[in-house]
Amino acid sequence: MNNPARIQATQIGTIEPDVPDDVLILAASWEERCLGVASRLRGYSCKTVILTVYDGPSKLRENHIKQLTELLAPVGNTHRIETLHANPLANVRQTVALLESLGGKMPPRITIDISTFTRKHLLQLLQGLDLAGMLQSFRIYYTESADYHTQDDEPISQGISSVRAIETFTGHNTPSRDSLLVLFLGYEGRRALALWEDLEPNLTLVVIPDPPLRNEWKGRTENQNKYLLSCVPPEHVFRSHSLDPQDTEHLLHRLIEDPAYSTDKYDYTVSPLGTKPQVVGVYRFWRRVRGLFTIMYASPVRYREERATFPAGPTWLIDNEEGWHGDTFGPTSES
Amino acid sequence: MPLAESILTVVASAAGIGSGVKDLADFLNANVRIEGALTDLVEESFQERLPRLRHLCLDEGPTFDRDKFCDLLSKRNLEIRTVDGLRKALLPILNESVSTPGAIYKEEDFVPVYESILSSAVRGLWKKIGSYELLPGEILMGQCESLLKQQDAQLLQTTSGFSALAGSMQELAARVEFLQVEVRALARYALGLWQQVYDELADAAPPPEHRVGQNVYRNPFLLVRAEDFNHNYAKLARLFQNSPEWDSIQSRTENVFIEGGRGTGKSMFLRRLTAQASLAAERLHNSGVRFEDVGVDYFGVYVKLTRGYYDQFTSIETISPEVASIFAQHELNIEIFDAFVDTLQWLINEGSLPTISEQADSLTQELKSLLPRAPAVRTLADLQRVAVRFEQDQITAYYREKAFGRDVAYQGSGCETVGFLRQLSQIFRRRLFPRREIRLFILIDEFETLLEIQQIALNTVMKMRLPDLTTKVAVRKAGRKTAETFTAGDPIQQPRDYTEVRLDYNVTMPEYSKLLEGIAAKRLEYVQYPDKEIKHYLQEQEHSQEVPVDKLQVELRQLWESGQRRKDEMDSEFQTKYTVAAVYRSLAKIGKRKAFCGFDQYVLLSSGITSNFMELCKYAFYFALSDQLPLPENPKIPPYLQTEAAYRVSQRLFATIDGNVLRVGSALSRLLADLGGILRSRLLYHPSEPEANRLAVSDFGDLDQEKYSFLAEVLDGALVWSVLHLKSSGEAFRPKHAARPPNAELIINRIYCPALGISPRARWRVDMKLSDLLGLIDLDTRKNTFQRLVRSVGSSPPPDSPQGALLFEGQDPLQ
Repeated sequence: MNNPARIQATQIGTIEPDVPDDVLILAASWEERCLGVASRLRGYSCKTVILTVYDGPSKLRENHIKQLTELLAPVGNTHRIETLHANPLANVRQTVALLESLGGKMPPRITIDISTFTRKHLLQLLQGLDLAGMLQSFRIYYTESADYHTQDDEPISQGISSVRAIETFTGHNTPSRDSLLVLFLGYEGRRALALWEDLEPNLTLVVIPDPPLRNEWKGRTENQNKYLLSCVPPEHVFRSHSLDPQDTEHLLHRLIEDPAYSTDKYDYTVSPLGTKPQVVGVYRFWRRVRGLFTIMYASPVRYREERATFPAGPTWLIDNEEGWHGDTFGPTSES
Repeated sequence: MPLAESILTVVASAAGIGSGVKDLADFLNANVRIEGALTDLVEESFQERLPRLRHLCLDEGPTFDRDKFCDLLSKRNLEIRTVDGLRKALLPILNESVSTPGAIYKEEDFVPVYESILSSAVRGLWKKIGSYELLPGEILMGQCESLLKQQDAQLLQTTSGFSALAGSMQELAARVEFLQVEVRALARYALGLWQQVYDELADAAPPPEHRVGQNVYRNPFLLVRAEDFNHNYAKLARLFQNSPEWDSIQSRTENVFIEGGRGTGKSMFLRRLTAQASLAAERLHNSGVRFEDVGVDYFGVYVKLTRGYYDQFTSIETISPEVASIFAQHELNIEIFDAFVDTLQWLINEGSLPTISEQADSLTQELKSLLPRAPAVRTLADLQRVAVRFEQDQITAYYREKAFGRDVAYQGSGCETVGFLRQLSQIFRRRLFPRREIRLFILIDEFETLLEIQQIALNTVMKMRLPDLTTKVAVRKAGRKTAETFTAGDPIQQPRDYTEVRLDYNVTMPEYSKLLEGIAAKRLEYVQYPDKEIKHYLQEQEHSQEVPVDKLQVELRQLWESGQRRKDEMDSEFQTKYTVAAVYRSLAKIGKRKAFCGFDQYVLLSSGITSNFMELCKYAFYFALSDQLPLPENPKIPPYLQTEAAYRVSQRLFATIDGNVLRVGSALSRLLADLGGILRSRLLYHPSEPEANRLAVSDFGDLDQEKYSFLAEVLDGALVWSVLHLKSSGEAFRPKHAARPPNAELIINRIYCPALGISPRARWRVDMKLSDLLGLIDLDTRKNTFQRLVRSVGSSPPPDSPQGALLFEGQDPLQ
C-alpha cells in the first residue's frame, strides 16, 4: 500500500490477520470522536491498550472514558497514562517504556488513533516511538468530527497561552537568515493570526487543507483566515490534502527544494495548525531533515468543551509504515 | 420598475422576505421615500468627491443636478438582477445628472469617480435600510392606523355593521405584525450587505499599491514594523526618523536597555545602529564610501532573537541545570557569532572593508578558534554554513535525545557567554580596527524571549564593562526577568552599569507629534509623494460639521441643566469643557458614530505608540486610494474615510487582544469591553464628568494578594501589551521586580476607544477598586458587577432614553 490515505475504515481489524496487535494507542477526550476507532473495532485484539488521559476537569471526557473502557475491555489490557496538555513528554517516555517492557516481537505492531491527541503530543509521540525504533509496523487512524463550530471564528479553543517551539522539534535558528514560516491553516483563524503576529516572520507561506475533509466545507479555512490570507501574496498560498500525510510531506519537500525558499537563505519554522493528518505529514518530513526547521505551536488557554460536541464522523486509515523508511528525498540534514 | 420594487425583487428571497414585497414597497415609498434618500446620499457623496472631479475639468467645477437625478430615478425602469447590479444601473442616471463644463478628460475618465460616488451612496442606502430594524413599531402602527381609519370610514358608509368592522381590525392587526417581521428581515439583510461592503476592505490587508485612473500609487505606510525592512539597510537608513532618545541610545560607552511596548520603534533604533545601516546612511550622500570613513565610532551587530525558541533550553528531568545553563548560553553565543560574521561578510561584499578582505582567511581561522570542536572551515561563509550549524545541531540533538531518555554524547564547543564575548571582542579589537577607537556594539533585540540564565549572562557582560564592547538591548515592558549577574548579590544597577531609555511617549508632548510628523514625512518622501506634510492629508473637521450648531447648543443646554452648577448661566468655559461630550450625546441619539479625523486626533488615538499612528495612516491612505482619490496630486483624505480607518483599525486591534495577550487575552478583552460599556454610559449620561478614560484604582498595591492573583495576571498582561497604560509615563511597570505602587491610574489604550464608543480623552477620572475589576473578570459575578458599575461609575440613562443607546455599536459586552 503506497498511499493508504483516504481509505475509510468502517471496521478495524488487526495489522496482521488473526495475529493480535501489540498495542493500540489512543487518547480520551471531551470530543465524541475519541470513540470513533474504538467503536469500529471488529475482530480486533491487542496485548496492550494505552489510553492517554489529559489533565483538567471534564465531565464529557469522564463520560467518554467510561464508554472507552467498556469498548476496549474485550480488546486487551488497558493501561491508562495521565498526561499534561502543556507537557506531554513524560507521557511519551512512559508510553515508550511500557512498550519496551512488554518484550515480545520487536518492533511491535502498533495501531494509533490520532484523532484527539493534541498536535504537540502527536508530534512528540511519533518522535518518541520513532527514535526508539518502534515505527516499523504501524497504522494511523483518524476520525473526523461530524462538524466544527466555525460561525464565530473561534471554533475550538480560546486564547493563546504560549507561542513556542515544541520541545525536541527545534532546528537551525540564526539571526543572519531571514525567517520563513510555513503556516498550516485550519478553522482557528485567531489562533493562526496570533501565532503569525507573534512570530513576525520575514516570509510566510500558508497551506490550506485542500480538498477539505468534506466538500461542503470548501472555503471555510479561507473564510476563517481572511485577514491573514490577505497579508500573504497569492503565490505564497499552497494547498495540501487534508487527509493525506504524504501530500504534506511532498509539499514541504518541494518548498525547501525551491530556490526561492532555499534553506541557505531562510531559517524555517513550521506551524501545523491544520488537520491532524497534516501534522503526521509534517512529522514525516521532519524525520527526514531533522534539525532543518523548527516546529512552533500556539497552545490554547483552554478548549471550548462546554460548546461540544459534534458526533464522530468517518474514520480513515491515513498512514502506515510504507514510505517512512525509504530514502525518498536524499540524506538528512544531520547525516 | 421603481427603485423600491427593484431592490426588493432582488433581495426578497435572500433576505427571507415572503409574500410581502408589495406591502414592503408601499412602506418604503410611504415612509422612507427611497428615491429621495438615495438622491441625498449621492449628492453627499458627490460633494465629498468633488475635488477629484474638479481636476478633470478646466474651469468651473462639475455640478450635480439632484432634481434631475431623483426624477430619473423615479421614472427610469431599473432592471437589476443582483445586488451588485444596482450600482451599475445607477451609473447612466448619474452620468446624465452631472454637468462637467470645461472637461479636459474623456467621459470614461469620470467613470471611476462616479462608481466611487455610487458605491458609497449604495453602501449608505443599505445602512439606512438596515437601521429600520430599530424603528419603533409606532411608525408602522401609525401607517396602519390611517389605513384602518380609511377602512372604518368605508365600512361605516356601507353600514355593514360592527362585526364586519371588528373583523377588519383583526385583519389589519395581523398585517401590521406581518409587516413588522418583513421589515426586520429586510433591515437585517441590508445591514449585512452594508457590513459586507466594508468588510471587503477591512478584512483584507492593504495592498502595496493602487491604480487610480492611469496612475499607480503606493501606500506610504505599508512598512510599519522594523521586520518589514528585512535586510534592506538603505531603505532603513532613508526611513529612520531621529528622536530625542537617539543620542543616549547611540552613546559609545553606555550599555542601554531600550524599553517599550510593542510598536514603539525599539527594533528600528537597534537596526539603525548596525554597521550595515551606518554605511548605508553614509552612502546615501557619498556612494562608495568605506566603513572606516563613516563618521561613527561603533560597529553594530544586530542579533534578532526568535520568540518562543529558547524555552527548550530549560532544565528538564533528563538534563541537569548546569548542563542546561551552558547550552542556553552557548546558543546565545552561536547566534551572536553568526550575526557578527554576517555583518563582516555584508560589509566585505559591499567593498567597505578592503583591509579586512585581504586578511579574510586568517580572520576566519581566528574566529573559528571560538568554536574549537566544529569542523574545519576555510571561509567566513563556512563559519556560518558549517561551524554555526554544527554547534546548533549538537545542542538540539542532545536535547532531543535526552528528552526521550536516550543516551547521547555532546560534541560541540559549549561555553559561557561572558568568556565567549570577551574573546570575540578581543578579536574585533585586534583584527578589525586596531588603530581606531571603534567599539563593538552587540545589539540584542527581543531580550524578553531569553531565559533567565541567558539574561544573567548578558547582565554580567554589561557589569564587566569589557573595554571594546557595549551592549544595547531592546526589551518589552517587564521583559527583564532579572537584574542579577553571575556574581551573587551584585546585580546590574542604573546608572553605573547601564542606562534605561523608555519609549513610552506622552501623547500631549509636542516632541511626540514632531516624531510622528517626521516618520510620516520620511515615508511620504520615500514613495515620492510631492507633499511631505502628513497634516495636509489628514484634514481636520470642526464639531459643527458633525453636529449642527443649534443641536449642539440644545445638547449642551441639556447637559447644563442635568447637574448642579455653581454659576447661573452656561458660559463659554462650560461649553469648551463639555462640547466633545455633547457631540457624542447628540450623535448617539441619531445612531451616528463620532468622527476621528485630523492629525491631532490620530496622534491622540495612537496612544503614544508610533506603530498605531502608522496603522491609522495606512488604512486612511488605503481607503482613500481604494476610493480612487489621487492623493499625491490632491493630498486630502476626507474626514469620513479617516473616521472609517480609525474604527477599522480600532476594531481590528481590539479583536487581536484575545490571541495576542498570552494566557489572559480572553479575560482581558472581556474586561475592556465591560469597562468600555461603563465609560460609555458615563459619557452619555453623567451630568458633570463624562469623558473619563482614567480609572483611579486606590488599592492597586493590594494586587499582590492571593485573591487577586488572576486579576494581577490580567492587568500585568494588559500593561505589558499596552492595552492599558499607567498614567504616569515616568513610572516603569515592573510586575516581577518591584512592589506595586499603592494606587494607580489606568488609561485604556486610546486606539481601542473608537471600537468601545468612548472618548479617548482622559479629562476626568473615575474611582474603582480592585474588587470591581475582579467582579468583572469573574464570569459568575460579571453581569451583576457590570450593572452595578454602570449605575455607580457610569450613570443611568433617563427613563425616556432609547435602550440601545447605553451600549456602544455592535459590542454589547454581556452578550
